[in-house]
Amino acid sequence: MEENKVKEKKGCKKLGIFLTGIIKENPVLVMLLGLCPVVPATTSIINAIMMFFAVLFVLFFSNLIISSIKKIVPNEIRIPVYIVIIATLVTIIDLLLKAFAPAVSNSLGVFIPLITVNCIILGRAEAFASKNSIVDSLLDALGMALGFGLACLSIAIFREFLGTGGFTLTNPFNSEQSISWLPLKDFAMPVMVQGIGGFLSFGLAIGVFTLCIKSKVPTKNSDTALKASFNTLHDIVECKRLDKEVK
Amino acid sequence: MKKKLSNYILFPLILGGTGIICAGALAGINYAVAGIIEGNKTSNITKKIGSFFKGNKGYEIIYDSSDASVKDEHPITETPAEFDSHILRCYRVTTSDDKLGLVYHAKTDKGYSGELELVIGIFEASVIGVASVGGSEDTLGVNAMNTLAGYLSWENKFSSGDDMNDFALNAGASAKATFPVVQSLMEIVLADEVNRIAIDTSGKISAEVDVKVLENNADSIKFELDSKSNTNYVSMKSHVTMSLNTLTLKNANVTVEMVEYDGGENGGEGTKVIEGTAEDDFTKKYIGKELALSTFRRAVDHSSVAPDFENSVAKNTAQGYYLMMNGLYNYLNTASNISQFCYVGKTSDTEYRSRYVTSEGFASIDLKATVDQTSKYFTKIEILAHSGTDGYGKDMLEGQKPGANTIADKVNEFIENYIKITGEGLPIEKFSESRVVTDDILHNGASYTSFGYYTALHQIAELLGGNN
Repeated sequence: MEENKVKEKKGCKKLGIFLTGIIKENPVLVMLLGLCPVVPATTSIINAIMMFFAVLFVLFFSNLIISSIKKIVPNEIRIPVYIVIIATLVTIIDLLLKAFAPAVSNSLGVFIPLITVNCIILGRAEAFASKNSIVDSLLDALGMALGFGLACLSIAIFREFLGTGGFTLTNPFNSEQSISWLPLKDFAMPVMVQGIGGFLSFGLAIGVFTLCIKSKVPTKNSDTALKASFNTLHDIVECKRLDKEVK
Repeated sequence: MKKKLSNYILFPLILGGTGIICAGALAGINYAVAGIIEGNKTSNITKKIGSFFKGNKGYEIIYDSSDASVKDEHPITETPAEFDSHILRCYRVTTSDDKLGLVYHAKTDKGYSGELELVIGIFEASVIGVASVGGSEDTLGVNAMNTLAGYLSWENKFSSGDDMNDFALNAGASAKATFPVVQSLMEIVLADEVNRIAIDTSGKISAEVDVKVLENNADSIKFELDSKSNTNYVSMKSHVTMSLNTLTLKNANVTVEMVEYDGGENGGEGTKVIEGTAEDDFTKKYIGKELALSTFRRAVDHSSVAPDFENSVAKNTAQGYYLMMNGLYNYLNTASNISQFCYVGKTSDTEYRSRYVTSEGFASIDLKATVDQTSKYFTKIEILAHSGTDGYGKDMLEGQKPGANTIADKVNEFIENYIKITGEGLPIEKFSESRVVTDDILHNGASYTSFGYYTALHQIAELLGGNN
């Protein structure tokens, strides 16, 4: 019985790690990290999705590798080692995109190589992967990447709809295959798919997200991300109960 | 107890090991996908050719900057060195109605933040389509380019001199940096297109025109044209004076003075056409005024000019006139002996004028040189006109190191040895040898301008040598 509760508690903790990146510590909308690619990658839904996959790939494998070698790498040279690993992973995804999704690679352009200096990647490597287990690091990577992806996707939906009057979904592996739904084409506001529209949408997204979170997450006593994330999903009550019982 | 490795050994070991493993992984991935990436680019260009020229009957590659074995079977002129850094490949396309079009794979200068590799479709001296296929430009620049690409079409062509801003009204900051470099590249490929496609290879109607240079002055050349008759058009003879203000033989302005012609067609309407008194569009468009010779660059059955003859009051006379001028255009376009159009002469006791001029304008230069004949030095060189481009030849002639893709050391060497006048002056002896554009001292990225400049001074050196 005790063992089950411990397992359940551990499960909650893992879920908390995963959810932290999505809500409480959303890298884009809360921590304002990795903003460089957000404006250009949210001009269309397909760009946002592909940027999400690129960030996911790099974050997942960088956390995996860094967490695995954390005991081997001396503290003094950890940052250069992390950078080399991250740069390698970014170059790999860049080459893969060029080979298998050239249209997307062309459209995202320099923002793929720029993932190397994306604060989310190095930030998670330094703050999480280098201090936690492999499984936790992978969950953190998934959560953070998903948080980044969902933020980008929501901004992209808003921008593409207003900017083009609808949506165009293109097969990233074959740019000739695409489906368009443009009911408001004649009322499109091209400014929304330009830089200024990107910043405007981004500001709006932060505002809306903060409002939603504030209404659900108590600002005091939210000293841990775990607690806040659980609260949001109404799981915290159950976890508290389990915690007490374990103690 | 195990002895711990010194940090001086451990740190490089770990960093080096990480580097080697990462480099190995990258090399492996690169090896696996390099072929696919190159294939993607080629297939992208092929698709673009298909979309620019729908239903085309095929295409051939006629220029490849990275493969010297690719040759044009109908060479007109070589790509000027100044274009080399921009034009990567050129394809000649046969359209569905047997006309010729060109598709360029070319690279812009730095735009918003990097370069763009573009595929540009050209037909009848206009850009009918453009698409980005690579480069290092930022997403914003690429998006600006894509916005522009959406505007260009067969109905919405870009011609030389057009303003890019006319095509994209909602140009953001990135576009304002991207459009000028794209526009500049379009101007380059349009200029190059003249060299590659001007001659219609169909050969359905062709004039046999004898061209003689009657006079060659400092500012103009007078030609005599003798157009031979066949059943399709009226024969005629004329004197054509070419003003060389533009230093471009093919685009220079010409005025025509008719010497002999038969104007009897259609009850004397032929005479009215030749004298410029007829009221048809052909007469209004082509007769009695100074026109750029390139006006007559198209073949007579080309869709852009054919209606002018069809609707003329004296079709055969109009066609004959046009073919005579087209003959001069083709002659200058393909002239192998360019020296007959160059000029060198003495304008005062110590001053000489020299002009080197080419068909397409590259390497053309007009200059005045002051000579000290006793000590055999050029003491002053004044460039009156030249065709050097910004960032290349223009900068070099002004004694500045060009900012573009030139071979910096060699350009500096040329400036120091052949352009800058210090002390007594530039020894005339330096220009005594006849050179070709590929000679080592001229091959510097602004090679054609260097060649024109050198040759103009060489002409003076030769004249002085002859005088002596």
